Amino acid sequence: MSALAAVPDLAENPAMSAISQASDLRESAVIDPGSRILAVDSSLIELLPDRGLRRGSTIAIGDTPGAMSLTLTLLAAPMDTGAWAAVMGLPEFGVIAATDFGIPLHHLALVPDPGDTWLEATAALLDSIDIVVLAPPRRCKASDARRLSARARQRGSVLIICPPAHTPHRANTPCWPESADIELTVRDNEWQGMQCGHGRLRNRELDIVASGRRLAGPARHAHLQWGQQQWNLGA
Amino acid sequence: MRVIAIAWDAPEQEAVITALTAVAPRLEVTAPGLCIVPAQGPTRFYGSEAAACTQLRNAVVSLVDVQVGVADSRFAAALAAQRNRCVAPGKTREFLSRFPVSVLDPLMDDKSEFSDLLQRLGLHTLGAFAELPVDAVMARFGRHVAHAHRLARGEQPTPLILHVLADPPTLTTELDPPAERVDIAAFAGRALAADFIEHLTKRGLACTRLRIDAETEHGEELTRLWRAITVFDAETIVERLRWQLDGWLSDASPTRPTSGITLLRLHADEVAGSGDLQLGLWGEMSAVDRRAARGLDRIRGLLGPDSVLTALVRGGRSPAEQVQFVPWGEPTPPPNKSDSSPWPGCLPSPAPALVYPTPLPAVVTGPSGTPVHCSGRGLLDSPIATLRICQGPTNTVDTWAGPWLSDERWWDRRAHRRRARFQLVTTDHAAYLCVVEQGEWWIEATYD
Repeated sequence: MSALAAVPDLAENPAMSAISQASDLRESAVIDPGSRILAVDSSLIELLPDRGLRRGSTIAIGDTPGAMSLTLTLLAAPMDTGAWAAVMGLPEFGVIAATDFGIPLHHLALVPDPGDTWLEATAALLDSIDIVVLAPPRRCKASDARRLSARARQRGSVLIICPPAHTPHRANTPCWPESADIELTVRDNEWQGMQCGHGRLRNRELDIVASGRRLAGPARHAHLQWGQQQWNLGA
Repeated sequence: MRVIAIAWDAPEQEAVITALTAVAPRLEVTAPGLCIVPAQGPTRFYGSEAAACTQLRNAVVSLVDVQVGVADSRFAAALAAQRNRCVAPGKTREFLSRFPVSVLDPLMDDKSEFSDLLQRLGLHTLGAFAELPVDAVMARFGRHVAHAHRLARGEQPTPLILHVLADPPTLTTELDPPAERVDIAAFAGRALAADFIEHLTKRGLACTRLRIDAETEHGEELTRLWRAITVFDAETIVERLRWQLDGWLSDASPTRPTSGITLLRLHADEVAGSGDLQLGLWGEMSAVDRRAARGLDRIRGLLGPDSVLTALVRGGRSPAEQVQFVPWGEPTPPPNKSDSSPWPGCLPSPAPALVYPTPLPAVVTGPSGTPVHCSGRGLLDSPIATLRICQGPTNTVDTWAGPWLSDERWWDRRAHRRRARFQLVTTDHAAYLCVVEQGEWWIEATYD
């Protein structure tokens, strides 16, 4: 309660303060100073200023094909070392693909339809879950976005903004009305393995561009190649 | 589930258990001086619960004075044994209602603080605690208290969360030289227990009933089933091992082995998924896990009991069929045999990263602009040229593959479904999983 009251813009919001009252049993967030940075997959290290996911940061994924796979790649390595993740507002989350990327399902919680309480629920998730993936609804306001980023910063969790997937058509308007610490966008995305009527989706090449407030200098690029090994084929 | 509990004064242990095991083989030792037997077997064998209790009592009458209790849950049976009571079926909650809340304390992490809390809230008896609405308990206190609440209501939570494992985890260690004394064997058991717990944790399991086997140089064996008060951690396993060996190796023991112990084996007789309730309660959860579990409980309180889901991978053909969602905190259903068997018509990896809960209607046309028709054998009447999803813009299809045919439940006229699936990549490099059924095209998933 006292920690929350210290952040004025959170305490102002009546819904937020209702959460803080409901949670007086909660222990204060313990952040191990040794793990300020959550390790990521080696293919993404060069893109990120801290060579990993910095606790407290907000990362926005650009609204292009490949966004969800990029999100899964970001989640896999930290979750493999025991971190928890929650996915908010994304009923289309591909569970089988998540396991293919190596995400342990017993540390994953899905909140597919938070409804009108998405803001409060996301704030509450940020209190206790290491990585929160949010597909924000269209009505997400800049002030809401700022509050959630501040909450993540204060609680030491990572907020990943993933474009919503209600239809496969990507809107040109950004889904997150604020500038994030880091913005990762799949620039180029090429599937291989099939020709008209033959073969199947097999290999994939992606170009990822990183920009954002925390990245000084020119945008960083990474080229990813995914094949059989990445799909973790047991059989 | 009817349960018989047998309680006696703790110092006598090994001889009593041996005698009781002769009457009821599926005996589980909970603590020194307390055993639990599922009532079903002995009741059927001896004709009635009362007869089974008499048999158990008579078996040890020369050794020790035992108290026997019967009730609908393990927790209640143990309390009934203290009072030598047989609680009639369905009356367990009523029986429990008069007990003070402090009887729950041994089950909680923080020991006495829990009943203090309840008493400060004006809840002095289990009956008053049990009256609280389930959802409110879950939302306010989280699931370890919800578990205690379930016990107070006279429910038996454990059998629901059992997992049937094809290969129950077993670990063995050999002692060389043989251990003649309990403390030497227990020392070896310490490392074994730590390995065992690590092994289980890696598989996402927690052990709720443990079998400990000990063998001596001369081939004498002692096997005991131990029921955890909550779940076993390394510390409690070593404690159980000590209890088991103490009785066996003591000078007074009639079955005292003639040589030293050469082998110790730990066998997870019954396990629960570590995502299930039980681990929420007790020791083996890391601080991070506890924090996460508590947070998710809060979201459940905020949004409703079915709002937070965990996912399980099951057998199936399409990406949607292969996944089952279970509300957070609910027991996970045990895996099916079909989960690991092959599914004809199953789609190859990679799996799509976005799977639509309801498929999106689509229009697929050929080069001439007419809709593409798919025959019963999955043959298309023209190549695929364009894709239009949900009245959106028309995309040019760059390349495609398929069909993957599935002919489901052909033996059942009403449930019979024939479907053909295709992978499509449009010129903007988006890849889709389409399904055609009865001439209609749908987008099932996106390889996002």
